[in-house]
Amino acid sequence: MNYVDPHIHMVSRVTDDYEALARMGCVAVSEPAFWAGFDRRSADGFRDYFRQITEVEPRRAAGYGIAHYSWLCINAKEAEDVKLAREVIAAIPEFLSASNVLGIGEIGLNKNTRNEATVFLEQVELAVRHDETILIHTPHLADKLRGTRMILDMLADFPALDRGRVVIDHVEEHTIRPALDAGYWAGMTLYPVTKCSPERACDLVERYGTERLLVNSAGDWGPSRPAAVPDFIVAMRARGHAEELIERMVLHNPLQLFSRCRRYVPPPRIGTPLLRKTSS
Amino acid sequence: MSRALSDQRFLAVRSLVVELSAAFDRVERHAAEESVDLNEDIRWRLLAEAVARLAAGPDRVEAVQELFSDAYDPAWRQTGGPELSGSPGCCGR
Repeated sequence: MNYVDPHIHMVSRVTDDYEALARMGCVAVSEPAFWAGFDRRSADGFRDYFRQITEVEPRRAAGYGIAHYSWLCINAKEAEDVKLAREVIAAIPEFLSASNVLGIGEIGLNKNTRNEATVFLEQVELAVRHDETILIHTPHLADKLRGTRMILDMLADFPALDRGRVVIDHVEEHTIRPALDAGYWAGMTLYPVTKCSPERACDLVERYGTERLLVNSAGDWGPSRPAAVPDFIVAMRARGHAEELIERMVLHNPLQLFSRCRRYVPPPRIGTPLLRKTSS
Repeated sequence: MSRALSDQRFLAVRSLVVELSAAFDRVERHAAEESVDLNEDIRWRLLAEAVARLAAGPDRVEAVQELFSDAYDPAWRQTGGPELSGSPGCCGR
């Protein structure tokens, strides 16, 4: 089955992973900007990273017939340094015209601090000013419920924001409902220990349906499975779900979200007819 | 589908419960050997409470997730949370 992984950090993965994903049916990936495992020391460090995810990774992916999209931001973990964060935010517009950029992300909260919230709000403002879609990271473990509610509180202060162009990512059983009820997309991340598992993601599809719901691997430099979306496909099939429903979750839904970005061009292996079919 | 699923998943769920039981026994055994009182460790008290919620149902997973979550205060912005950035009215706010 053709599928899209709407959240994966391919800068942290070897080229063999692109080949393995292509063999399993992956037609596109989208790569939010994130913490590289160390704090960068300057805005120029981020400029180099943004070049990597707007120029280098698309070429690497294309070698395996995979379309590569990206999102730009300063992540919550590096947002504690507000001065540096503001320099990075000022640099982001230099890259917004790159053809593979879908929007601003993954912004959000990590430890739910005042500085993180300040930088989050300033990046939402950046997205609104530039008419960009938004991908939002929610915290891990004990911080998740409070952080998700804080994020929803802050977004509520932007009444003009199109909720259908915003993803609340890494939802779990205790955070999915408020995200969907408020009109946002919700992303389920399949991780080996934290976040969600393929079986629990199936449970959430059965409870909440497929509308505005995404499934991703968030594969990165830590313990993670870049092939987690195919694991979800297998788990859904084992429960007897229809191929059409599974395909909606792993292919049509992410492309429908991506199509809300004005620069969006469909993956070459999919083409324009699907874009027409999935656009809302 | 539910009947098939209950058949399909029985061994997997049985395995999870056995693993969970063994993990508690293992940690308690080591704690006893090291004279560590798990009742003084909030994390292990939470785990014990989680098992109780699991046994009680319904909506087990939400109940357990909420148990492991920090409390959310809807008035967080008035009680030491971050000030709104930017100018009032910016971007439709």
